[in-house]
This record gives sequence, structure tokens and C-alpha cells, in this order.
Amino acid sequence: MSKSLLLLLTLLISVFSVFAEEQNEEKNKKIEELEQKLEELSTEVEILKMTTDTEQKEEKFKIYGFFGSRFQDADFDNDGSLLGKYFTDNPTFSQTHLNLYFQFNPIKNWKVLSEIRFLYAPKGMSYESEIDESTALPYKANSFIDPNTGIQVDLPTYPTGDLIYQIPVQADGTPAILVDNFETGIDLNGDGMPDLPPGFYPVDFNGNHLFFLDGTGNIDSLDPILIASPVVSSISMFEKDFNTYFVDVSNGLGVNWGGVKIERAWMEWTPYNYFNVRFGKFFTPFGIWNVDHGLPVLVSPRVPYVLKYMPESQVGLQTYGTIYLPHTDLDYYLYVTNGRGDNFELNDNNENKSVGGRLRLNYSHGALKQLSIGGSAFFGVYTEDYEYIKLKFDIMSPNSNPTLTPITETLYEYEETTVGVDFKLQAYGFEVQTEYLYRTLDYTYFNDHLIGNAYTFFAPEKLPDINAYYVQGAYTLPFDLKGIQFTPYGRYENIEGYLESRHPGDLAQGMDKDEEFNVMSVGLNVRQNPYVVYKLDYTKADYDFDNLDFSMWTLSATISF
Amino acid sequence: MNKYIVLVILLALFSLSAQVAVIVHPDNPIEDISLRDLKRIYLCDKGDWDNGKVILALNLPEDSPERLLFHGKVLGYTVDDLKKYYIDKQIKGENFREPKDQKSDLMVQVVVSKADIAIGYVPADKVGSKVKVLKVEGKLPTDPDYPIK
Repeated sequence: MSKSLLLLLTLLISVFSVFAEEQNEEKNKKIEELEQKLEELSTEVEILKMTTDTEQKEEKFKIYGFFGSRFQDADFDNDGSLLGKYFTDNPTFSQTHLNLYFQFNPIKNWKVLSEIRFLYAPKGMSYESEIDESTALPYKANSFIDPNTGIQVDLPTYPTGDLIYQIPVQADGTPAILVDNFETGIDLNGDGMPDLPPGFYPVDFNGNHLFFLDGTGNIDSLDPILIASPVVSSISMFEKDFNTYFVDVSNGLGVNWGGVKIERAWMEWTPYNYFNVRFGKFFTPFGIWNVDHGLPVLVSPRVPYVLKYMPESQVGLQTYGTIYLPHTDLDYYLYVTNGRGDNFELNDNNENKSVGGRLRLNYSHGALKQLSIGGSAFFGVYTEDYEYIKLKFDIMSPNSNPTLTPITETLYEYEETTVGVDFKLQAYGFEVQTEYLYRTLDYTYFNDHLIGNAYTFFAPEKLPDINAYYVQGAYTLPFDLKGIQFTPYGRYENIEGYLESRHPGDLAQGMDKDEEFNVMSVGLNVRQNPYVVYKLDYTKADYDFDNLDFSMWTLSATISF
Repeated sequence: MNKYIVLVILLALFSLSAQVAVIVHPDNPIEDISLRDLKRIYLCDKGDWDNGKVILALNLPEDSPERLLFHGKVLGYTVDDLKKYYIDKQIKGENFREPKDQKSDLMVQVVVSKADIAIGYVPADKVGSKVKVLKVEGKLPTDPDYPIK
């Protein structure tokens, strides 16, 4: 009996445990099914997110950029040259680039991009340390103290160009003028000799020490022009007379404020690969370098001088696209813009619009990453305005206040035509690129009234044609060192012609027609990873005349983020 | 350096046998694709299908030998070179969307089977039935002169 009971119990337990195991298996199966469904669902969500994002083409909002810093050691043949004036030959560290990109993609096929570069410029002087005591004048930007009333009078800031007109004020509160014709001084009587050497000249409101000039440089008491007019356009006023120094109230320390440069800012509509429209400020699509543009992209830390002869960026309307041909791509760019000008982002100071374009055929296949040939052209009319303040003073009533009137006159105007061709080959680690540029200026107007006398130092020659090219070769070594890539490179540049220059710091300043200069660079580009790149560069420039020769070592570091 | 040599050897050994199939959604009307168009798509120079829809390009994982093969045969870039290429493109301010890395060839096929804008590549011997295999330069992976192998 008991045996039978035991047997029955064992049987029952076995049946129940089999049943329980089956139940467990079912449960596990269900759990697995649910987990699988969950995974499928999350995959679906992921795919949905991916496809929706892709429909937008890019993220709605993105910030990225790059940072660049360098160490350089230059040697100028002539420290007194303009090169020596604007660059130091001391071994120096420079923090050169902090560029931020802001990209918005509000809806499909629309995009806004701005690239902002933060600058230490204008880097004006501080009162404490940098003013030369012999000419120290506690001037205030845009204002002077009226000696008759002792009240500070604010001068207007005019929206033409970046100029902020100033009349320096002496320690005793009376205004002074600066004659800054550093080459010849001012010829008052038309005999070709300077009668008024450079320096500060006090002006008193009683009529003493005022110099009045008419259009030919003779004294004209009826329609006087204050000789201070060169002041507002002189280099020294731009470079030194801005006060960018202030005391930070939070800690009492002096601060030199800097600025920002909007490198580019545009909106664009990109409905098709072959047709896109861009509106705003963009880099001129001319040649290779100016299109690639960003420091991290470029193999060397120095921009070829060829690029000085085309506008780096312009404001206007551009259409561009890529047409896919059987074995090649045809890229095109066409644009209409304000062209060059001191204030081209906001105003066109002539009625003409500049036009230009670029075509590039690009072939690539397998290890041949790129074989391209391109052509670019730019045509525009440039107007150089001369701005000054005209002071009218009633000589019969010496105690009356003078009136200040801003004057803008066209100094000269020219038509500018620039054409270029370029070639690039990238294969098996080798990269060769070259750009050639020809520019001619056809002067259509000269202001003889201004250019013919005391202002001759502003006038360019009439035939400033430029022929310029560079050839650059680079080779990425076929091995790396713990992921670090090494790319030695070399570049030769040649520029020939009259190198018209009115901008301070232009390396070509002072050259005559048919002069030429050559620049040779060799270096090593070291890419630690896709984001970080170092460049060691040695550049040597030889000019037809000796006083501008220079050589320079540069070590730069750049990181993209 | 050693890593590079090992990779090259692995790639060489692998390429003796492996081939990569290019796949799209079955509803995608495209049947044949050129190497040039594949390169345009993965270098982000071409962002839309001919019907105007945006292209969603998919990558295998970075360490996948099929990806190395695809990069070498189609793009002419290593994975690191391609990263630099995309950074440069971004700094130039160009419009593009990078291909999306997936965890496995299975995931590539799942995405392609569900998204009609997607294109991907997977080992030819692992292609499932829910995706369409494209001819490349008129050749299927089974053809002797198929270009991606």
C-alpha cells in the first residue's frame, strides 16, 4: 500500500515538474519573443529617426570650428620696410585663428551658414604704455573739447567705410591736426617742396596756425580746406589712434578689446545637385585655394600671394552646382556681387555690379582621387573714394565756431579683369596643384584735382598688370607612426608686374612695374589624427629690389572641432 | 606601422575571396550603379536619388574587412583619410551628410529593407531576401569580373 502511494506521489511530482518546465519554457519563449519585438521596435524607431534626419539632409543646428596658433621667427632684410613695420622679426607666438561656424538647416534644402573669426584687432594703444610722449595727446575718439565753452563736442561717425573721424585734442583741450604725409610732407605753395613736415600742428579757434588750401595746394581763405584732411585717411590714424583699452571694473586690470570678422555668412537653397542658389557673403569661387580656404584643410600655413589679387570674399548672389557627366563631374559657379570696396558688405559705392564664375572638370577613379582642371574669371569696377572733413571757418569772425563737413570724393576708378586657370592631381599619396592668375586694371577715371598735387602718394600707376602663379607638391608617406601621418611639401610662387598696393602690410608695396618676386616654401605637414594637424614651414622671399627680402620659420598647430 | 602592414596583409588575403554586394530597398527602381556614382554617394558629393529623395548611405563597422575592401576599391580612401575628408568638407562649408555606421551587416540589411532611401553594402554571401542586390558596372557579385572584390 505504502509502496503504491509512494509510486503514485513520485509519478504526480514528475508530471507536475514536466508541466512546470513546459510552462517555464513557454514563458521564456514569450519573453524572448517580446524582447525580439522590442528590439525590432527600437530598430524601427532608429530607422525612422535616421530617415527623418536624412530627409533634412543635415542636423537642424550645428556649431563647429577650428583653432589655430603658431610660433614664427622672421628675418627681414630691412627692418624699416613696411614688412618690418607691421610684422615683428622677434621670435614670437601668435594665436591666429579661432573660427566658429554656425549652421542652421531650418527646413529641407535650406541652409544658413556663418563663419565668425575672432580677432585681437584692432588692438589699439593703451594710454599708459604705448603713446609716444613727444606727441602724446589725450585725444578722445569722435569728440573734441570746444575751448570756447569747455564742452565736449561729439563728431558724427559716418557710415562710409570703416572710418571713424577724429580730431585729436591737445592736453589743454584745443584740437590739433596731424600731418601724416610721411613721404613728402605737404606742399603749400606748389613748388614741389614740402612746406609742412609731418607732425602734429595745433589749431586754435581764433584762426591762428590754421592752414587753408585750395584745390591746387595754394592758400585759399575763401573756401578753405583744413589741412587736417589727410589725418582721417592716414595709416597712423587707423592703426594707432583708436583707443581699444579700458579698465575692467571687476578687477581693475587693463583690457585691450578685440573684434570679430564675419568671414562668410549666407543662406542657400539647395534643391538639386546641379542647381543651388546662395545669397549673402561668400568666398569668391576663384581657383583652388580660395575655395578650400580653411586653415585645417590646407597643407601649408601660409596663403599663396596669388590670392592677394582677387577679392577674398564678396557679397551678392551666387548660383552653383555639379553636373554629372559619364566619367567626370562639371562644377560651376556664377555670381553677381557688389565687388570690391571698403564697405562692400553693406554698400556698393558705384553703380556697376561685379560678375564672375568658375568651371571645373573633375575626374576620379579608384586610387586616382582627383584629377581636375578649372578656370575662373572675375570682372568688376572698383571705385576708390577719398574721405575727409572740410572745415569752414569765417576768417572775419575769428571767435566763431568752425563748421565741419564730411566730404567724399572719387579719387579714381578702374575696371578690373582677373582670369585664372588651375590644375590638381591627387593619387597614390601625391598631390600636385597649381594656379595661374592674370589681372589687368583699366583706369576709367582719375581725380586730377586730388591726385595731381599733394595727394600723389595715393595714386597708383596706370598699368598694373599682374601675372602670378604657384606650383605646390606634397607627398603623404605610405606609412604612419601610431596613426600619425607625415606629408612633406614644397611650393614655388612667382609674381610679376607692377604690384599696386595701397594697403599697409601688403608685401608688394613699393614695387615698380615689371618687377617680380619669388617665394619658396618647404615644410612638413604632420597630421596626428583627423582633427589635429601641425605644420612646420620655411619660407624665403626674394624681391627684385633688396629691401623687402625676408625669410620666415613657422610652426603652426590647428585643431578642428 | 605594424598595424598598417597587418591590415594590408589581411585586406590582401581577404580580397582573394571576399566580395561586397551593394544593396538597396526592393522598391528602389535602380538596378545598376556605377562605381563613380557609388563614390559620389559615399564621398557625399551626391545626396539625392534621381527621384529627388535624399540618399541614406550606410557603412559597415569601421573594423569590418568588407568596409576596408569597399573603401579601397570604391572610394580610394582609408577610414582615417575619409574622416579627414569629411572634416575638410565641413570646414569648406559644404552641404553634406556623412554615411551612417551600423553595428553589423545584419543591421545594414534591416535598415535597407525598411528604408527605401537607403543604400548599403554587405558581404555578398550574407545577403538576405528582403533587400535588392544592385549590379555594379553591370556586374552582379556572382559574375567573375565583379569590380568590388
